[in-house]
Amino acid sequence: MKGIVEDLAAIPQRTAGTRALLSGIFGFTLAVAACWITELFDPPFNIMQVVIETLVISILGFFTLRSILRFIQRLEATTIELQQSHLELQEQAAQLEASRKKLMELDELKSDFVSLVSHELRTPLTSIIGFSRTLMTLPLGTEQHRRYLGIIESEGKRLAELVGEYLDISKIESGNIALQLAPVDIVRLVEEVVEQIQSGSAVCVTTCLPAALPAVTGDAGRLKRVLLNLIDNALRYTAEGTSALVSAAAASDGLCVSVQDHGPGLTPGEAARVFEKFYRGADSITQRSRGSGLGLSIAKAIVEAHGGRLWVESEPGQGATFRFRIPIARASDARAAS
Amino acid sequence: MAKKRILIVDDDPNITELIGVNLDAGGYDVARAANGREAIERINAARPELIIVDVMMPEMDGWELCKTIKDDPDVHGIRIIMLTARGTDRDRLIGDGIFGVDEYVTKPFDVGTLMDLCERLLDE
Repeated sequence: MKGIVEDLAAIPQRTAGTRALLSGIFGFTLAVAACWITELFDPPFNIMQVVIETLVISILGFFTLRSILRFIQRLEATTIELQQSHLELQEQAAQLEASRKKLMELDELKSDFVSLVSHELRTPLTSIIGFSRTLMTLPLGTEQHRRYLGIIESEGKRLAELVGEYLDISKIESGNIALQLAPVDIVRLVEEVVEQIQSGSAVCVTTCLPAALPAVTGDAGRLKRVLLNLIDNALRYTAEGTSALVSAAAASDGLCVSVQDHGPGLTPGEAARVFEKFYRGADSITQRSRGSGLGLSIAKAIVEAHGGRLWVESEPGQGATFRFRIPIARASDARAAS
Repeated sequence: MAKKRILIVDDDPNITELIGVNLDAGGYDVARAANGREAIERINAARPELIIVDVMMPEMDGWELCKTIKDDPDVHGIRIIMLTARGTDRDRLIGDGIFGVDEYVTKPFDVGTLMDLCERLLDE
């Protein structure tokens, strides 16, 4: 009997259910055998018979019941495990679905972007090629002739700007912003950018700059891009007759540059998303505006690569102010740059 | 014989100028519009025989303008050439089915080819 119990105990945990079942069957068999054995005795041993039968049946019944109870416990534990796994799987499925939706949205935005880039690059090319050809049919030296040559030149420059911007984007996408650090005079940088924007266009940009600011270590070309993008954004949404304002000031641990416009302002929902790639505003009119939706995300990437922060302050109907802060040059950075 | 009138709709003034000066030289009467709204004003003022329209414009894009024209029984006979930088097949299908665009021209286009196209459509 001991050998049989040991054998039963030796069955591995996974088949505990089987073990319980086998114990039950074994117990039952023993009970039947006990009854049969006691049947062999004569009537004088009736009471003994009953006692022995009862004892054997009780003991074996006890063990059988215990095995069955253990089996049920094991089933319950397994059921709970399965339920938990099921919940976890459902959660994972929900997360995957959310990711999938986001990827599809990004994919759609990207192919819109490709269409936009395609259009933006091809339009100046059309002018350059078309006017060159047209010029061949026109007399030299006329005012019209000169005007068309001017158009070819400015469209060529526009194309160069666009190509630069799109190349910048692909560098940022592949994580390749290698900054070319040197001491930068922010005041002069702002003045240069504003002059560049104002030459040859009717927009109005005013500045409010101190005489001098502490030097920062930065990539002048990239910081110019940040300013251009912020000012371009401001002008896009500035109401007619008003102007965009660029200001700069020293801050506690660096300097702070602000670009303010008098456009429609941003709702909290838009403000939260305005730095996202390809995001071009919540309503259809701003969405159709000629921007790529990348200007602000590029600006943010560049500012953060400088160890700084770019953010927006705005109320609907009150315009918007975009500010960025860059840490001041550290002596070690200045040494590293030289 | 009266000159045939062609309306150019594009928010890029250089493109409008480029096409306009060549159409002028080709003997057509040229009208210009910088967006969909202006285009409708020009159409109502003097009905053109042919419209050259860019697909991407702010406020009302090329498709919407075409639909407005096709829905208006007075003017839906006007031929339409659409300028597009995409040139994908999908765009062509959409245009042919609903908006009744007669021809597509992908940028950058050859001005001479565009002129030939105008001539062909107006002769039909």
